[in-house]
Amino acid sequence: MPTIAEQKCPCCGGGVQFDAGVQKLKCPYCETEFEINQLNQETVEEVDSINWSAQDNQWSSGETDGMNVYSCQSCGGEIIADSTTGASKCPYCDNPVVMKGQFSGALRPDLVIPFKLDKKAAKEALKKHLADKKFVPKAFLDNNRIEEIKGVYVPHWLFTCDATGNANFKATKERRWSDNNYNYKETSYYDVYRSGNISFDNIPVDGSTKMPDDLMESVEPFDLSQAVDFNTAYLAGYLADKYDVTAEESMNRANERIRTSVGDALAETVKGYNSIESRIVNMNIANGFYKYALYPVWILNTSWNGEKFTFAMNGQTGKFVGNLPTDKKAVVIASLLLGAGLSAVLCGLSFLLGWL
Amino acid sequence: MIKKLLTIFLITSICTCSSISVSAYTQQYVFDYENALSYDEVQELESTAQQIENEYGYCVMFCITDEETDENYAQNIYDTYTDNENGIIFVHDTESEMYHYYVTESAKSTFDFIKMQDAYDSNNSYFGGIEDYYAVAENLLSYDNTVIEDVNTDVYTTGDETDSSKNPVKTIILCIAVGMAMGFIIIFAIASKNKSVRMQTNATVYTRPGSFVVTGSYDNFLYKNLDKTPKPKQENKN
Repeated sequence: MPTIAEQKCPCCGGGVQFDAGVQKLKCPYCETEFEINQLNQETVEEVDSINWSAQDNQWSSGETDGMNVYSCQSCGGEIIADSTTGASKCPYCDNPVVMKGQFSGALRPDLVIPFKLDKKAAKEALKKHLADKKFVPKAFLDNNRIEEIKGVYVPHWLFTCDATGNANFKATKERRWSDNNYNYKETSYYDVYRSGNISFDNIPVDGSTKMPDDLMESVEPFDLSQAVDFNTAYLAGYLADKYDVTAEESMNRANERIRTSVGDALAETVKGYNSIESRIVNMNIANGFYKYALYPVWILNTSWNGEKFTFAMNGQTGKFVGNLPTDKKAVVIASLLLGAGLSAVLCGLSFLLGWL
Repeated sequence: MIKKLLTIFLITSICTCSSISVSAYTQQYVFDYENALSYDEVQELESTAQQIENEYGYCVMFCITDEETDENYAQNIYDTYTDNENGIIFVHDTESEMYHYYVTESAKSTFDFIKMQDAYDSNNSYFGGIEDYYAVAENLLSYDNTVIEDVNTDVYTTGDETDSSKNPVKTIILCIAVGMAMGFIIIFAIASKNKSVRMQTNATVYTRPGSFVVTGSYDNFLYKNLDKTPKPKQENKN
């Protein structure tokens, strides 16, 4: 049965939210602050939600698949969310709500990194991001209106393991010399082998299909030393999803990254050659285990020329990423101008050196 | 953006100029492996040799050594320390009191080795002998240069031939091609920064500090290839 929890202010009854600035729960109406555990114990209550499709026959068969219906504790409004939504806001009274069933039992995250940066910081970061970039169409900058800013706790699987790897490399050494008539180049070929052990801690893999994997990996790394034990109070005021990609499905991505790192680490020990080409990397993993964590990410959406642009900011470190459109005409013109300038300089240098 | 482009342009120019100047100052001409010369004497001789190369374009080297040597030793030193294809090196092997020399193909008709050796031999001190060696080399070069100038004048006035080592059109086209390529590369590198979303390639940032240990390794030699390419022939100005 889907259940819902609201963090209510004991002073005024308003819905409280997690404040990234003070790292406490705060009532936006009377501005009273509460410790995370204090309010959680006093005010959280579980209420069964109503399965409308079964009871009232308002939903046709299959229509509610992948969808949950909740009832707001403040205004009684109906909150419809997809099956992975773990925290949201009531569309009628805007009170933050947490779908407790999404984070209970086996679905309970081990850790959560609370938001350290707020919405204002995300807006500032976007401004800086746009100011830093060149060749962005002026129309995009002038008309750019962020349509949506949301703080989302994104589910991640964190993989820890000891990896053993071995790799073969084809390496070459070159020796050059010349006499009066010829230039010589001697290339010696070597079969190089390396094996080694290396351990990894908490490699994150995005556990949500809603979030693009490349966007989530671009805002890495997160500082897991600041993670705390999971508590639904941290979700108040933000969106949150439960995972819909299992740990087993995420392992392949973690293995892929581990394999590359093992290959890179072994390759760095091959020294004294002019070229190194990796041929085979074998890898075994031992003592592997995984954890489930929620990572804070600010998502900013905008659209321009019918294309959607999504930006993301690490809610802990402030790392901001997002692809921007490029003004191709400006790129070509700038390339030609710079090319002409450099050509003139090279001609001048050639003249000074007596090559002209 | 203009600031960044100017910075890149300045760095490119400075690098080019400094690489030219550095290469000019690191050339060594006098090799005293027997410590027969004082530091000041070596500096003075280096300065003379540098002046000769600047003025005539020929690299004139001198080496004193107490090892047993041969012509290959002379050629090896010359090839190692200079890329100049016009030059000569004279090696005095004090162990066996032998003289060896190596002269590049294009400089064979310029230098008179017997005259240069006589000049060196006729002086009682090493320093004085090498000084005389450089003086003779300079005389020979100044004479040779006069001949070259005469020949060039004749060629210029008749207009039948031109100096094919300098081709201004080719150089300008090359400069434009290189400048344009550099311009496109720089601008595209700047524009590519608009894309900041990409998958991570590895998990190196999550490596446990100090956990990497190499447990096995070998480096087996397989085979070797030798490529031999003829040097482009340089036109003999004489």
